[in-house]
Amino acid sequence: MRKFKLIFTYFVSVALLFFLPVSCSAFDSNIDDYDQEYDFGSFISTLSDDTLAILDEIGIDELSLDDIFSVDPSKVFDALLGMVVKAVKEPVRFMSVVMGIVIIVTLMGSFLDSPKTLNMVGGATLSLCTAVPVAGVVTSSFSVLETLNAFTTAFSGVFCAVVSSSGRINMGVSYATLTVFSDTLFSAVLSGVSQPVVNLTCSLGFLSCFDMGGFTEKISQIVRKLYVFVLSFIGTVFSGIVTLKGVLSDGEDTLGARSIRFVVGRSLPVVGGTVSETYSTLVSSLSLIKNTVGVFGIITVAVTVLPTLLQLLGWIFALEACATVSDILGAEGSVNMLRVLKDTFILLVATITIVATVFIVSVGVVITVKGGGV
Amino acid sequence: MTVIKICILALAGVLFIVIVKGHTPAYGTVLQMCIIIVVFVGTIPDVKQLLQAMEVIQLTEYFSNSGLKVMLKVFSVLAVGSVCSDICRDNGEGAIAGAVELSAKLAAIACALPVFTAVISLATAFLKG
Repeated sequence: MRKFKLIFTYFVSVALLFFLPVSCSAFDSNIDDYDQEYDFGSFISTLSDDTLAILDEIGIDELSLDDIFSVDPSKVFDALLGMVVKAVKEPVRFMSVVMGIVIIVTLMGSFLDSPKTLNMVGGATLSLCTAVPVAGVVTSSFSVLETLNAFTTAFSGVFCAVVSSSGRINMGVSYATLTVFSDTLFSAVLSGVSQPVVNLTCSLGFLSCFDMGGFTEKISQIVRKLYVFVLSFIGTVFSGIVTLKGVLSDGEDTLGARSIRFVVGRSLPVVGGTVSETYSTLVSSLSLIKNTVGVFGIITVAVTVLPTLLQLLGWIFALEACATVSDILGAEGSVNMLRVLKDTFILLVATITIVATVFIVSVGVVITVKGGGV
Repeated sequence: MTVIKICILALAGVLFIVIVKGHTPAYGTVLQMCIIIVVFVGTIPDVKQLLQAMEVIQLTEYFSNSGLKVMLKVFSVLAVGSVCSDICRDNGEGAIAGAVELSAKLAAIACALPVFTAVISLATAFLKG
């Protein structure tokens, strides 16, 4: 029941996004002059082929103002629809295969007095079937994290260019520098740490088809707890830094903002609290981004993160549904494996969300430096 | 219809065994084994049909019917072992029944060994990244 509530809350939060007030600001053309000091076009080289393909699909071929403002909404809608269909298609196929195998194993097991050995073989077969799609999802998630990390690191370079162009050399030791470089560090740490953790929990998940008295599940739980601790620690430090001086937010806390913060805090796994805490900073960052680089950065983050997040959500739903069916039918080996993999995907969602949040706040800070907000 | 034939055969066999066991218990066991073999032979057409259906099943690229074949093999080994151990237990040979069950489980694991090896190499490959 709790899971259904969470899913419901998540969809309500997504629906609420459409009712967010949109801040409009005049386009700051001066900031685009910085491309004389820094090669902004080098951002594009950090993007993955998939991201470039989606950008191309919606009509953004290069980092130019004309391309960004001539985007056709119908193309964006088509691209979004394509992402959703692509994200749902594979998990649904996977669900049918898993349920087929689980039903066959249960049917065969019902003829035997002790179906434990057969369940183990069924679980092992299921592990082999799951490996191919899981490897694909994990690889695409890592590639998203690497892209975001490369992009955040590239933005540190932009920050240096902005600071030197604004003639404020004393900014080098200021709060904004601390924020941008801690953001860069956090995304680098998260990208580096998440890979071995996810690989380890995945391999433990595959091994949990063997009946080892819950050994693999316990080990994967410990690894997950340690990772959640690292994620929470980074989240706490990050939200501490961005709220320390409220550099981007004006401290406004309306009813709408409160509801969104509540929904985000409740629905996002692991990092819900952090994203909720930094919500006002995030919104302020988005309203400040009014130049080509900023808008391109945000569009790129959305295009990079959204397909993988949708794919992960589809897989989480599929794995949970399969685990529930296996649980009802009594296929224990499969239940453990499916639940461990689902928890791993939740960790990936949390990591990608926090890295994306870190990036958006970084962009906001870069823009504030020029705006004299610090 | 096969099921009805098998049921009639089994019931007739049981009645016959009860009568024979009263005179010579050793023949009762032999008869019991013969009836079990006949019952198994009677189910062969159905099993063949099932196997043919499974040949057609090619669920997706993730799952070939070789996985199903391994599961069927394991199931067959365990089912034969279970029937054999039941016969032993009926004749008061609990130790032999236990040994048969154990050997059936070992044989089942041996059948599934390629799948288990594949899972272990998969986990190792994931660990190596």
